Amino acid sequence: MRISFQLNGKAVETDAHPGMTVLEFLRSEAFFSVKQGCDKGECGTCSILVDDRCYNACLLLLHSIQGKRVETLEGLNGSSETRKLQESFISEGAIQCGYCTPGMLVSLTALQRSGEPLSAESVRDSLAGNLCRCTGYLKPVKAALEQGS
Amino acid sequence: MWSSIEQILSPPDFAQALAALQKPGAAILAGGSYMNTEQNPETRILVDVSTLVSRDIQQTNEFLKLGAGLSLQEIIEHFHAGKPAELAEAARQSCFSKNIRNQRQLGGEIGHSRPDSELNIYLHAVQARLLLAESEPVLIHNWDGKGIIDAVQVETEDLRDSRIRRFALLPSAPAFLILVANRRGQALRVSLGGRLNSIHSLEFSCEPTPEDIKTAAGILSKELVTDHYGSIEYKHKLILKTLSELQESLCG
Repeated sequence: MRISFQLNGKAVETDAHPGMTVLEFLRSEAFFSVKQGCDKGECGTCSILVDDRCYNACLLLLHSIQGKRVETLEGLNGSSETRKLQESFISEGAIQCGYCTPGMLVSLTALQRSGEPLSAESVRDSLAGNLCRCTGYLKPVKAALEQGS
Repeated sequence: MWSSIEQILSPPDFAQALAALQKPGAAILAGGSYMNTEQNPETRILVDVSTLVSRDIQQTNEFLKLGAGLSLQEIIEHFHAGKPAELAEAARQSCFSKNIRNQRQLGGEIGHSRPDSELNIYLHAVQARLLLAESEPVLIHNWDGKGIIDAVQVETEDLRDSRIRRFALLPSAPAFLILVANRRGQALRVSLGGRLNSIHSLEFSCEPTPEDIKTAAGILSKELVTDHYGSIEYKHKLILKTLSELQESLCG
């Protein structure tokens, strides 16, 4: 199956098995910020942006991103919006083991782009799909709000 | 890798999509979040209808029409500040992950007939009508699961007064009991879901006697089982109490 889409600003065209997920494709191409966790959409560690909205790459077939604009944290690293978030995460100590952090940053970048007002409620709603067993969410929520203030 | 998938078809119209679904091992693909989790090994062909089904929201004095291709998140964003607010609330409660709400579509939520979906229970309570591709419309509780849902329509009269009650260990956890009550005129329709095998609906008068409520609770609770959420007796009492509250709130 032939698929073409935009990945981190570059055009991609690939032949893939029709049952391949976006997560499997991205990791096979060494986009390791997209982590494999539960593979069932429960942990959000494989979060990516598709046309500015946040998705779990494990639940998305490669076929479904035909013609779309896909971004991973590797692509977002250069943007000022994500860099501010990263700095805020560091200064607030919002990272512990760090496994969920790329997914959280992607989810929060989607929130910024949505234009939804930044509040504890909107931040928590955005992070509800990103499972974190270390931080208890207090510091990531604070970091997101600090960055927006 | 969903290794049993041999082909993904993207038919140009509903007639060809319906024909493709007749092939052995064919299934509908729209959002795909449920299917990708299950990865049924018997599915060999996916028929992508995401570009065919409606994604519109149409609200008139008579009805509300929702395209089956709308994601749960789009429904929330459209209705969170407007009416019916319960629709946005049901969509939000059906899935607490925004990532999945971006992917999960209204048609799939109904198509999977999940009794643990607040949105599905809500649509049963408001007697939603399913607009099927190349078929006659059908009430949601009469649908046999066949065909392609293009849109969902609810009469405005059914959207005026409804309440959702859910019981879960945590606010963000899946509910083990979901009750949605909807008042239309002097009739009260209650739909029940949660950790059950199917969705149950019941209609009774807006001025029921305590005996009527007891009977309704008995009927609605017939599928309850004892599990780590509680005993049958506990859940039965919970339903009874909630029914009284809902009746008081909507009819009192």
